[in-house]
Amino acid sequence: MFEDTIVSQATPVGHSAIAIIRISGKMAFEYAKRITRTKKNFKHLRPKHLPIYINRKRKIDSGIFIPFFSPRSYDGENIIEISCHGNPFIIGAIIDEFLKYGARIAKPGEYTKRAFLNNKLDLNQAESVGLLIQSKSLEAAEKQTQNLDGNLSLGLNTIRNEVVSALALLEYEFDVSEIKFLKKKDLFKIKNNIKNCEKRLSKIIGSFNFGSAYSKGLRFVFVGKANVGKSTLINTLLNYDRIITNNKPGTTRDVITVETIFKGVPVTLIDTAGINRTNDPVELQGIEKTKEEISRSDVIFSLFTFDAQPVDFIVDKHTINIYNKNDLAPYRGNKKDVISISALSGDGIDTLKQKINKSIKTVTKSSEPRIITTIRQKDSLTRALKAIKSASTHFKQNPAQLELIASDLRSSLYQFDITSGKTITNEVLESVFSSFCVGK
Amino acid sequence: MKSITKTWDIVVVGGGHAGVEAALISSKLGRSVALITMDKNAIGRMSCNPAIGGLAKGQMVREIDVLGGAMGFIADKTGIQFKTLNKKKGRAVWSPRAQIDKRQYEKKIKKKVVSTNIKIFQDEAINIIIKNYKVSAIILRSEYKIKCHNAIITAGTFLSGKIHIGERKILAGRMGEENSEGLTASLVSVGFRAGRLKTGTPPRLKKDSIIWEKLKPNFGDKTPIPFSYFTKQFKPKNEPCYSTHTNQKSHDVIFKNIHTSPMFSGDIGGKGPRYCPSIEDKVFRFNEKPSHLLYLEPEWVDSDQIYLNGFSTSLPEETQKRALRFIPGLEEVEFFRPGYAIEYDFFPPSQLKATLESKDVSGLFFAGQMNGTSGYEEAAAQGLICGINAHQKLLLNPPLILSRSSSYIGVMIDDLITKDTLEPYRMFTSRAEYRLLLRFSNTFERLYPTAKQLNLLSSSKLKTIESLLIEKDLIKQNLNTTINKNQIKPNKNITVSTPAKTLIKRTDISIEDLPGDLFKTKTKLLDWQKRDIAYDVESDIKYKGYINRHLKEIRSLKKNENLKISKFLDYSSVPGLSNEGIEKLTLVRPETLGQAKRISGVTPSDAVVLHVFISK
Repeated sequence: MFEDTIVSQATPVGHSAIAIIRISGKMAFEYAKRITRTKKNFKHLRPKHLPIYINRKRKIDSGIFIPFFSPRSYDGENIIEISCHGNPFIIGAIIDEFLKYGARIAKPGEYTKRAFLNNKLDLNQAESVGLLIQSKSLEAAEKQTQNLDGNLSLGLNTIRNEVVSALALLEYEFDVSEIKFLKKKDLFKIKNNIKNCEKRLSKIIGSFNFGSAYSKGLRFVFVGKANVGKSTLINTLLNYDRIITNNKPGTTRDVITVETIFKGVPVTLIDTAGINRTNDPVELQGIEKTKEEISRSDVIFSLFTFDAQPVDFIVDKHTINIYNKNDLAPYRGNKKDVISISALSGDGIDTLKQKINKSIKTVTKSSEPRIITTIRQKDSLTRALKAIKSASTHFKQNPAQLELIASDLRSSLYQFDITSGKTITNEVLESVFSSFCVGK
Repeated sequence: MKSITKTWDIVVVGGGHAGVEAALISSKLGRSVALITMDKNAIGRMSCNPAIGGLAKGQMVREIDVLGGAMGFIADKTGIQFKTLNKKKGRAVWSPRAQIDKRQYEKKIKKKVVSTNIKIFQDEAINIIIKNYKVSAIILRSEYKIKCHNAIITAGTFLSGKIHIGERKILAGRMGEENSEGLTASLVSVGFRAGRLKTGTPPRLKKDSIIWEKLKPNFGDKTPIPFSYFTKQFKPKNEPCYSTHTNQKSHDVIFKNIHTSPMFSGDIGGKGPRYCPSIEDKVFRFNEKPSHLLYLEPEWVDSDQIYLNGFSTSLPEETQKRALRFIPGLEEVEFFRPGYAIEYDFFPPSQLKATLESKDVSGLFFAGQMNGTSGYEEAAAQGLICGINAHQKLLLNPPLILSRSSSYIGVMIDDLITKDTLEPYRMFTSRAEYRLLLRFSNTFERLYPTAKQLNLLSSSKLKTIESLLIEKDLIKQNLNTTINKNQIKPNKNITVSTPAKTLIKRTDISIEDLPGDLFKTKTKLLDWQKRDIAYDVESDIKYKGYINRHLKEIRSLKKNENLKISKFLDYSSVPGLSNEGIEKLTLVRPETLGQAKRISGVTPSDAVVLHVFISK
């Protein structure tokens, strides 16, 4: 168990009906007994309603104390959760009291870090804790819950185990059999197993776009000349007037962002300043900003009208071409992928919404049930995949260089262990948990 | 107590492969050395199989050679059949092995030891005198006190050795040789932890009781490679070994009598080597295998005594015989002596530093089987390192610690001091994470800097190594030459002229396909050496991407690998360590963070926690 006992408020700061304070570590029970002036010992998962005193005499509140005994707790330590009244003064006084006893304030993500260090979670699961809390939609939360349950780790472990058994056969060949032990058909089997691992792993890695769409959200950027109705379209899609619109060109002078959810995927809609061919320095700046947004975006909404051509600096990204203001003049062009709408009257908006849903699927492209959501996972798994692929390539050569295949498989195992946190450096540990909120 | 006034620099206890290498190297380095052995005639004895080298072990023999050891050179002189194992597989796993004339080997080693000024005591060490955590003397059975600055203990299987043949139990260090009883107690009384291990040996057959026509002869390589870089004359014999197989009937005999094997009856507590299992183990555990391969190996030239490789056993003598007599060629087999198992004391080597010196008693070194290893080569390598480090210590020089990336010896010692020893430790190529770097053929390159810095080789031997290095450079330069399609076999499909070194990267092209001129240099080297170097250059090129990745990994690990941990660190005061981690770390007391990470039972998160703690 950890020597330091840590304490923090687990619920948001402010006034509320109930707030929860969590205290974890070697002295957690001791401190809880002290603050309640009880002599009786706690029992695992047996809640107790107890008075709360500061300075041993002032009763400031009473609350429900729920004890969790190590290792059967969230972080593997002794934990007490105290539900008290959600008043910042009460909470401040309780935490101060614990600090006086010798506890210290928990760092961001410290409980989860302890859970990892105590082997309660692997690194993938630990990461999903943070992501679960920050999830911006129900679907995103659901995905992270699956990962927290070990769905991803399980999938990766199955692949890892197959690599291990292939490697074991090769090592036997090198180290034990002085004669040739692996027959052609054995090698063929190993080769197929590795190929299979390659396929499954690359599918999991492929889920990254999808996974990060869920956790971080997609960026939709709306571009077009001034007064093509970008802001109006955004308002229509949102079903309320979020952005001030006007029929004068150039109402939007800066980038405006709005958060929303499409099909469970959190989306940031980005309204950009309209582009006109002027030498206005403010507008030139606007163009630069728009370009920047385009490069960061996942989907581009390129708007044009009967009297305004599409802008010409759209890069090769997933783009939806929209002809707006068809209430003034119907679309006469012959491009098939253009959706004709009127943001004002609502004509064509349903078609556009269907198109948006399709685009989300295309951009995130995944049917893989196991998703990865962090760059860290993606990086190490991509390295693992690279090594497995290299092993596969060696199998194609005749004679196959088994010692190189073994070396590749070993590297891939190393990367699997980095992904799960079995092999870890302090730098990685710090960076994973520093993005957490305090109290988790 | 009888006393001798002289104080030796180094006293070596035991004259086996570890003891011999320890004594020879430290004497060569100029130290005064005494060797205590219970039987002068048994110095350098090969107690089990008549072979040296083999998978991963062959590599170690050559490492011993470059570090100034004797094993490789004497094996070359006394080998009667040389064969490189794994030759059909990649060069990184090629491992040379030789059948050895045991009598000649023993004789040559003894001669070498006697020719130095090593003082030999034929006696039994029964007590170690330790003063102020420092070794000061060894007490002999004859009550003589041998004073010393350093002691290297290489007791092999002799400490409380107990032989089992069926229900027969004989107290002995080897068949026919007395065991040694006092030393374990003396070490345990000062706080060393001891355990029990077992190993076994097969029966020795009478040559004229075997029907040879029924057996299949196996010869060695036609162009053999010696172990030692310093072997000049090398025209070894090529004596055959013979092979046969066990069968269902012999398995039945073993199976029915398995309860009479002391390993199964529970008479033996010590754990045996999983990798060199007894025949009863093989039959019992691999029940589905209808037969096991056996080799009949001559123990010396024209030997009337045959070693039955693959049939290590502790079954009763009659059962051994009955099982064997169902095997083709062995229908009328007779023994010189039956196979047996031997149990002995060992000292878990996590009590040692990476120098193989005790963590607690200054000047006390352990090597060989008493460290829980199995095999002549493993023992010799440890003895050598002990000898070198005892010498370095006396001179107040930094110790020799070979890294895992430098040598199999480095891998072995690191494993020994960090991993739990649950069974006798045997070297494997898979134990080395940098296998592609640790080739038989590049040993000279890997260990030259060490040998030179520590003066382990004579100047003429160093010169030999240096010319190998020059040769390698020259060949590498030659391979920059551009090759056109007329210089190479048409089926190799070369359209544009290409530098030779680029061509070799292709898997279908080996150096043999290239014009011979590229390998002609002015260096004065033996043919096999030139060939060996050419192959080594080829491996370097073919493995290049992998080797670079290894090197990168080694560099990145180095950063924290050698972070020192205090011997007195109270692990229970390190916040966040797991209970098992605390227990293991407290027991082992690793010297560096690198060692700590590799201790079995220490989790990666323990390692991180420890790292943070010691960097504070």
